[in-house]
Amino acid sequence: MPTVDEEFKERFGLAVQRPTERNDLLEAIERRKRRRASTRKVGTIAVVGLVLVGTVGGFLALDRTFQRGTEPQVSQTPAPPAIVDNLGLPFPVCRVSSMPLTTTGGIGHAYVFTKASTPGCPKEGEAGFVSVGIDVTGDGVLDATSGPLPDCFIQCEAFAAPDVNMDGVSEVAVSSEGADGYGVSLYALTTSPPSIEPIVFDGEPFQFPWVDVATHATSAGCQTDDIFNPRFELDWTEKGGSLAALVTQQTFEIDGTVATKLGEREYRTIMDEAPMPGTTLCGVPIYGSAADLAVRPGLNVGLGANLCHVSRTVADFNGDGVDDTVYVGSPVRDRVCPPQGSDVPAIAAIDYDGDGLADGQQPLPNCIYCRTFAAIDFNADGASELVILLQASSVLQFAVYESSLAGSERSPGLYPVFVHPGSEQFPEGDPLRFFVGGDEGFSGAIKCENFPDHPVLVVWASDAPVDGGPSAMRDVVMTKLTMGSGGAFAAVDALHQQQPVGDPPLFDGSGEACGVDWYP
Amino acid sequence: MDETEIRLFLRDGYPRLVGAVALVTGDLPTAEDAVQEAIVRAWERTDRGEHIAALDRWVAAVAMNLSRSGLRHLRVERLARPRIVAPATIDALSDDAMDVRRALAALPRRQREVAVLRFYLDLSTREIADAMRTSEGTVKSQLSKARAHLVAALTPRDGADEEPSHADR
Repeated sequence: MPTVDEEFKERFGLAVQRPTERNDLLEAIERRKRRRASTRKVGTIAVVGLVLVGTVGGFLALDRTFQRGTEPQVSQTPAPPAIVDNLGLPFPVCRVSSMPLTTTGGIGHAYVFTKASTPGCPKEGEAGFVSVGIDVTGDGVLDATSGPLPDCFIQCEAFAAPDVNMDGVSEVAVSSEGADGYGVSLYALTTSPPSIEPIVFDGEPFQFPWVDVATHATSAGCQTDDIFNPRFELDWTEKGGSLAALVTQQTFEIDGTVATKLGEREYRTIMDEAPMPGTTLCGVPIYGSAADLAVRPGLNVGLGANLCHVSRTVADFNGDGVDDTVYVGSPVRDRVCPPQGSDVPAIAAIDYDGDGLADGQQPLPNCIYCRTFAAIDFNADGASELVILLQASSVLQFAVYESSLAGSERSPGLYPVFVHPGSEQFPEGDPLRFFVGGDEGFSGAIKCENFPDHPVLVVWASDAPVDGGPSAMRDVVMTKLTMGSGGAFAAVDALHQQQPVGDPPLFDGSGEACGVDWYP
Repeated sequence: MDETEIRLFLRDGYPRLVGAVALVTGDLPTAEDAVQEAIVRAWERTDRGEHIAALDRWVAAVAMNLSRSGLRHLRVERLARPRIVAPATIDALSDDAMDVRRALAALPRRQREVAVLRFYLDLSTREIADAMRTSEGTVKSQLSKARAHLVAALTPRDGADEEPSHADR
């Protein structure tokens, strides 16, 4: 009777894949061997030809390069990376970013670079061959590379070089910029012989996000366990919308090129103490554009520029039964928040899937005191419309925006709501805007009828001339509006009359209307 | 290592090692690339005068390490895509072979490697520990977990004993 191990042996044998039949296997392996040798040789020649020749110091370095063989010679005094056009590679490189490394014998450098071609550097957004390399001798010549790096759609950069496993040699972290922040990949390096390989977790490259967006932030750090074994921690902080934060923390052991997950825990804390991206990783500085992520002003909602003076409203705006979030704010300009009321146009951004990133946006012209104000389902279709406060003084000015509905042909996003057909008070085709409050001579109010089943928005305004002497009469307009499914309010009733100033208003505009207190 | 030795190894050891790495990675082009690269590295070492005691185990260990690289996997997959064989020429796999591959794919990477090195390449736990640069105790622990999973996932054939034949060597 076969044992279970013997049965596994037999079944594995039957399940195994056979290599492709080829007669030139030995030749292919010989070619591969020659290519490896050629790559190293060309790299050395390129160093000689393009970097060192012509300088007095170059001859000394040239001699060292040829004599060092396969063993790296670590410089005893840290030297800044030489500015070269190929880093010792057999092709020119561009978009080079670098950072210092700690190695067993001293300090080297890690480089992230893009392979350039005859026409030059690939344009931004074009796929290019981006790699990471290490120079463990400090001579500006790469001793080992790994690539291509994944996901370099915007840019990949040197991120940090922490000694995550505390073995005296840095690991290399490379960032890849995305819409919401950065993805960071970790690489393990050895200095003798020089090599750099991706650290993998469960067979895949070990990557973690480095982001701080409206709904969450992710970061990483180094710790030790109770018996001082080095541990690498990834933190996911859910922003609770108030002071509270829910943190999910995963703990890993990094051993050579393998990351092993040791555990995961959740805990609640206050936002001030929650893990957030900072300016360092495991005690070493962060380089590249990610360095200032922690100190960038405003809120990142994935628009390219952070938003300042942000207000937000949560409701189901697209009618899919799931709450969405609208953020309204002014984008950062010249790396600072513009003062409120400046000429920087405000933006409304809507996030449908709760990832903290905008799925659609809409500029808000003439929005001086720009805030989300309320979510009201004006047409009783199950999807709320967004009321935005445009200006605030003794008179408040409001505008109404609607979202495209889930599954509709309209692009996801927010759209102004117009008036069609119009009235004397609301001209045909204009965006709906109305006033609430009063100042000298003017007053405005609204109320809702049949809310919430068949809402009718009643907008009333009166104006009395204030020039010259006191006016005995005032101009009164009132329009009843209903919102259809086509994204417009229709004037279904209108009134325009003169009224003695001393007479009471046509209706009492105080209190709630459409479920909202319009005088907060 | 001279050309004759390489030819012998390519004839006798190569298909078996490619099969082993493919069982671990689930991807034949990656396995072929990793084993070829490992052979080149072994060749380079012997050119430098280094002695490799057990070439098949050395190549297996290095190929497993190389195949862990996701970047390598992606590169190889891209290179291999144009020469992917037409569906009609793919070996017809038995249900049992598919079950074995699925069961292996469900294992964590290290357990998968240990299982393949043990059950397919027939290495001892000591040899596996050396190849994976870990302790024999860790190998036995991983092997035990892998075995338990495989027993649960793969219905034993009639007559198979549910116990291992002997203590893990």
